[in-house]
Amino acid sequence: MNRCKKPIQRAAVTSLCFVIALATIVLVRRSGAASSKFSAVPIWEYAIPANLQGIIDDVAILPGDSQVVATTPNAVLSVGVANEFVLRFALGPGRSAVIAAEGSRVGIFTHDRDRVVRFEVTDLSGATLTQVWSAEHFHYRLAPKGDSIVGIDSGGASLPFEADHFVYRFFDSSGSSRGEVQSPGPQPKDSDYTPDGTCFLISNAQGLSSYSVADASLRWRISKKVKFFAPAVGTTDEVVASDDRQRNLAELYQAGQLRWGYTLADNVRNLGISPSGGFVLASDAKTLRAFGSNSSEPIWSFTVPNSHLSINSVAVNDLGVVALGAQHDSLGSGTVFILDPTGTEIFSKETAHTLSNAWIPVVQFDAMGGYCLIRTLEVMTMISISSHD
Amino acid sequence: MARNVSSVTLSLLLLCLAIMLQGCSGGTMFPVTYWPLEPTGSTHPIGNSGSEFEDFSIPSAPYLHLGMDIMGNPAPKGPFVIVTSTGYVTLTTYGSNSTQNGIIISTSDSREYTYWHLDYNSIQQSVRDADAKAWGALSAGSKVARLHIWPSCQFHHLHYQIRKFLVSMTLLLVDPIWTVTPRNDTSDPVIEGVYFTEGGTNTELPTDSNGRPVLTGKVDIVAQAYDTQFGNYRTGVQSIWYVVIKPLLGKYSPVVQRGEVMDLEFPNNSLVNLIYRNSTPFVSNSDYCGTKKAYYVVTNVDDLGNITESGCWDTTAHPNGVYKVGVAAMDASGNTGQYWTTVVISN
Repeated sequence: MNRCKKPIQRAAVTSLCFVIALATIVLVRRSGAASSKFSAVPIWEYAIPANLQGIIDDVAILPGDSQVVATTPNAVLSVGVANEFVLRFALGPGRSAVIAAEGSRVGIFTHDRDRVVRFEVTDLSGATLTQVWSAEHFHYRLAPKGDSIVGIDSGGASLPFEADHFVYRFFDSSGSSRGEVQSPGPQPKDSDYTPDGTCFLISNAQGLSSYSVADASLRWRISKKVKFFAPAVGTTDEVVASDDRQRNLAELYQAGQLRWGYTLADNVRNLGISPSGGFVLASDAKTLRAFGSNSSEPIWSFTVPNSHLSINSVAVNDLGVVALGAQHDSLGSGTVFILDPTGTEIFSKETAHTLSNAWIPVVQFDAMGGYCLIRTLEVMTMISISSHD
Repeated sequence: MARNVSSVTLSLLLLCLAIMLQGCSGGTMFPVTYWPLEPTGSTHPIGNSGSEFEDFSIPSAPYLHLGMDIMGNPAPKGPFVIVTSTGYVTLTTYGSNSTQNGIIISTSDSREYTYWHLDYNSIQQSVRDADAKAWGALSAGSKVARLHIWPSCQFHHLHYQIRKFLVSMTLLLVDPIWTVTPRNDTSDPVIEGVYFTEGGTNTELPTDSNGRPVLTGKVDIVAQAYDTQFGNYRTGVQSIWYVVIKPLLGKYSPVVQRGEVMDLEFPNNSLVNLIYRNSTPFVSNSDYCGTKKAYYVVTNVDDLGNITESGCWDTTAHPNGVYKVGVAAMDASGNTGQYWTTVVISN
């Protein structure tokens, strides 16, 4: 990992930053961002070393910081204003890692053949804070702040796709059990924490349900199968979901009750909701629509300017600033747009890549919403979002 | 002399069985395709086969491996997984750090193809496009993703599993090796040892002063066996059976007992404890980081070929004396291995 610190890379990155800054000025002028009270400015860009391209698994932005923490199959790394990957700690054989969404905690799986035999939560230096020893769980989800864990048990099936039910076991920050949930008919997108980590959503054949992380008690349920979902913080009880059968239908629910639904022109491909629940996003491959939580009437819509682009990722912060990543049909390029709460484009960036997947270019905000990370498998770019108010 | 005669006898039996087994594989129920990993026109090492014993000490263990594990180099440089049969796609992901990302493709004639342990970072756009649609299909030949970097022992593999929903609403699985071509494996299954126990137990029968097992009553025959398919990883065998001959000096040695074939082409998880012994001293294991061991209870087959605990070799049906017991195993390419041992029946 020391090779990540070569001075030549630093020089290259510095040059890259200059080019980005210049390009940004041009783009900002072109996009008429002067009329917006928001601005989006690249603050660093990092070309991922060839030996790490395509193997960075998890990435999180430290809240209110421009620093990124990332995992590879071998290590936990960080990258930030110094514009280089810094080794936080190595994982060693048989271990893999996940980053808590807010970046300050790391979850480490210890594998033994086909089993996960331990899951531990560490700080960014690798010091163990808590751990769960069990061979029952094939996967774990780590709360955004790293202060709770949910283990997923495939209910006796050797592989999860064979399972007729899952068992979700809730653990607190000390690794003590807080309860479990039996879930018949697991769905392909099975579960997720709310952004504040207070609730855990489980999707199954019966519908989508929210459980309190404190004691695994049911908070609410949507009694129909959903395909995708994105929750706001637990206190809002809001979630945007797409219908499993009518794939072009996006709906906003609060505490299990339908608030509104909107039928897109094509299948729902991306859903997003601001952490506090005020802004909702739904897109098919070509058009993104933004909503408020009170109405199914879109506040604005944005269609990709090139019909060869497909929207692969969306994100929205609590101010209503939206990031959208779209990939070209050629799979060799893409475009990222950042839009203010009125749908006005305040930033765009072309991406070029030789490695592709179904989600790039990925866009993600930090928990505070002040930074937006754009990443492909080859490059990461950090954008600072600010309001002129 | 007796050994030569018995070998001829067994070879004839093996030939008949080979013809029978080759004839019942796949057929129209499971059409033959190319391999699901690039290069699709070439064979790839098999790490675990269908019906192979598996025990990773999870609560459901032991169980049968229901697909086959095709070994390959992982992401980001390794080969792509390729769709073998056109069908509707369901994409499941648990995240980029999970070993459990995969797709299931359902064909219009009720077959399901599972491609598991995919590398999240290389799942292709076309897969997501198809998954988003209610009946989104991927065509045969489509790229799916590369292989996940397996965290244990560099056992990077595609779990490839095929099953069919029958009219009776039951599921039939097949060891996918029967459905791929080319399949020009030339290595013979290996039988490392044959043991004789009291029927239904692990109690080994005693030996005489010449080291020959002395058999009484109903006996189970336990065979330690493995195969290798296109590489060096130990896998299970596709079928295994036994014969007993009465050596007659200078004469044709007649077959006095022929066990039905234990056919493992169609994995059925409920049979794991009937097919394999998994307790001392016959501890099967699936340790792909070490040396796998599989102890087959060759006698756990009834006269109709059903795998059952009631199956055994009833030695009381034969006069006391010296016999030779042969155990043979076959792989999906028709290669066979055999092992002979001398026993004494003393009822």
